[in-house]
Amino acid sequence: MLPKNRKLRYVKDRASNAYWLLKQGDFKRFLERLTGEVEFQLGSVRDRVITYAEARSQGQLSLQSQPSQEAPAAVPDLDSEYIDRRKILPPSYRPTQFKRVAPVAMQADAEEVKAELRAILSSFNVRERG
Amino acid sequence: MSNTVSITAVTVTFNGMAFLEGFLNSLFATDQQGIHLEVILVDNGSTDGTVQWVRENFPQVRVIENDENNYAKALNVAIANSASDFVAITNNDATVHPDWLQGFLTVFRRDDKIGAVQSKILFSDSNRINSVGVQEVEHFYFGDIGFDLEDSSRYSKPKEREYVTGGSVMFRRTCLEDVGPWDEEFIMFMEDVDYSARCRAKGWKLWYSPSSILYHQYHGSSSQALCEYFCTRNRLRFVAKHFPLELVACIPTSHFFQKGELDNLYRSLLHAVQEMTTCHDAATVKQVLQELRARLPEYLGDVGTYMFFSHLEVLLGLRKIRVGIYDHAGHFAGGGQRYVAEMADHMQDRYDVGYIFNNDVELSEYKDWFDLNLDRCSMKIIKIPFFEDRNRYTADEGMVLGERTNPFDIIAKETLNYDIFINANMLGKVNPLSAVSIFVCHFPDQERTRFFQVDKYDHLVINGDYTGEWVKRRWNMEPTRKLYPPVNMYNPQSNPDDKEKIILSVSRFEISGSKKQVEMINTFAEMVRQYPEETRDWKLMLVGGSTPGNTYIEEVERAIANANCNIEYKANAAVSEIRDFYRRAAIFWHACGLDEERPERVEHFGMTTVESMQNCCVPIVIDGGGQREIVEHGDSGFRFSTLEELMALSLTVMGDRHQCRRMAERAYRRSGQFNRKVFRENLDRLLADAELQLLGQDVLPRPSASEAA
Repeated sequence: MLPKNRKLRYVKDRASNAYWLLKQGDFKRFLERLTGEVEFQLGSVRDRVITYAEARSQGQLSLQSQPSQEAPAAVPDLDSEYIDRRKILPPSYRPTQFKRVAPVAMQADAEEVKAELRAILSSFNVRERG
Repeated sequence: MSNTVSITAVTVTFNGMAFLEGFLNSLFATDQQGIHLEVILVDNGSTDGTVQWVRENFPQVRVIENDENNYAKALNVAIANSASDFVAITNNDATVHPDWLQGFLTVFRRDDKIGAVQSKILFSDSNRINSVGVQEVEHFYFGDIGFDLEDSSRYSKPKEREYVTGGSVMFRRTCLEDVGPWDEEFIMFMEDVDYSARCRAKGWKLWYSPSSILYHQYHGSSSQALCEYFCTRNRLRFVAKHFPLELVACIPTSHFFQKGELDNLYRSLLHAVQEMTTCHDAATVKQVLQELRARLPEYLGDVGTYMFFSHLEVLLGLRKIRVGIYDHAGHFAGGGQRYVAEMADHMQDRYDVGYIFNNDVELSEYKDWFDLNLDRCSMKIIKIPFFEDRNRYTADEGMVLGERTNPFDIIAKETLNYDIFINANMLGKVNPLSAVSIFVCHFPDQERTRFFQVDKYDHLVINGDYTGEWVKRRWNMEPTRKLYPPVNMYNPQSNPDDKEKIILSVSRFEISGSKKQVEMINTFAEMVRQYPEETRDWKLMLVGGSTPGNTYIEEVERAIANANCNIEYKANAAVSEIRDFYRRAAIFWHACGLDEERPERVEHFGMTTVESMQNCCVPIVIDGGGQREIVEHGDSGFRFSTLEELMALSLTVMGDRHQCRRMAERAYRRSGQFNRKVFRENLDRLLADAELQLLGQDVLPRPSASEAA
């Protein structure tokens, strides 16, 4: 569903619910829902304001990885701004499905590759495994 | 070369019937002097009737049905099913010139080391060139030589090429045998470039023949989007196989990266690196991994890069899959905890399972609470400062409203340590950063509020239709899987013929009175008052958990005293006692949700109802919440909406021993749908999906007939 249609459906659903509650004479729940909705929308606005204006400097989860020798790229850092707002890698168009395949045999020495991957993973400062 | 050569013309089709008549007619009209021609058509699962049509109209064509829609695999199947001197591979959204076959042979006669010869491919609707060979046009993106140029004398002479297209090419059998099967993981597109590189690596030459001509309907049988996806995906695989040290440099020029399709970039790169480990030595692999470590954060970010390497460990089979289960209320022996502990118990041998708690818990306690031994699970306690500062023992996400940062980010960060993260107890503000994430929803208590993250999970698991309905209404989301709670209260001694005149209720004595014990007491008292004969010797037995200082117990006691009839209650009975009550009781009552407006105050599922059914009780339960899914009204029990209905239905069952027995038997059968065995089977399906996401390779779906149309 397109984002625009999703928003329209959301508004339509909310309006239908409100109308139904009023029709039932259930003013108490109507007010509860209205208050909840206003709070949610205000929260969203506040979220955006904070995200755009301050989140980069406020990042609670900024990851202290080893500094790269390469020039910084234009993609966003994965700090709490990112964590709050989207999935790590948003899904994209893919015409395929998945299937399970038999494990492939490595030509490279598995122990060496394993050690290299362990060393690489330990160079990140994101793990807190006890 | 002898005077007569044998050639197998191979063509692969997928819903391409519209093209085949013209193609096959032109193929059989070629000059076949000195040639023994065999034609093989491999069908990749067409739904347009291709196979039958070809068999009826071109019986001389050998038709092979491929079990997968995979072009490269189709070629291997055809080659393996032929024994000719040469194998010509060709598109069929095309027609061929009468000299198509002879044109190949003319060039092959030049040199025995020529392994393959490509045709001149012209667009069918003009005199313009589609391809006279293949070359690298930009950084490992390949294009057709002469593409869209007017056909002129420039390409009128045979010439050696670096790469040839699989659209119209003939291979020498000895070359095919020497190089080996086509790489089926390419599926389609660039498999010919890969094969060309492999031929040259073995010392074979590739040539172009201007006198072998094919007229092609460009992309007549495949979509542009499909072509772009596979070309971009397969480029990384090709580079990883043949030019591994160039792999990292290929990332910024990847169309996936340039179009922001980071998910596709991540997955294609992952499988490309996996392929690299199968054909290069450790030194090369390590060098590439180090380059990826240095550069990948620019493209996928630090977290994405961390995930990539962690995921790679699993994909290469270097460690077990890690599963993290977060339960912020794990210190409490509730139904939700039991549900997840059953999951952990089932998974702990297969995976490296770790629990994440916020408070001090000993997993050994789960043995006492649920009779589950979770010895093979590890655990970790992560305190959330937001709640610690407020002296809150249990995390209540309802308190998080105006904060600038999400207090649950500390858990989000922890999720990176797992391949599969299971958010077990509905804290909807935890953002999953693992490769696969599962949110288990027992009921959507909260509306979508600030920091709502549930829509970021891959799987949204519900415990029944009632929860699913409210997930849709409150969160506007579709659950992905239904996993009924596992109920295992079977007692082999329970027998519908050996029941006592007991009506049983098993529910916690909630302080709020939401389980409606007082209402049931009053109803039973009313029944006894109005129908003393029918209710003679019947007893109401109320069983349930309670906490010290529970004021509702006092209300229950008062109601029992006022009722002045055969009613008992038992708080915090041992499991063995509860089993015995189930065995003895003939009828089971459940009224939680009666006269309630708030959906969360209605029983979301109804585990005790199922427990009673497993012990041959007749359930008479509220017509709401999860009970509707469990009890089929009039068949495996009854459902009521008012206390008057509860009374009437109970009297019906009490007064008809045969009906009571039949219904108890049907209830017992029905309860089998909610037992531990079914739970584990459904959990296995969920885990199979999760594993597929982690370890799966691409496969083209077989469309249904309607989709194909």
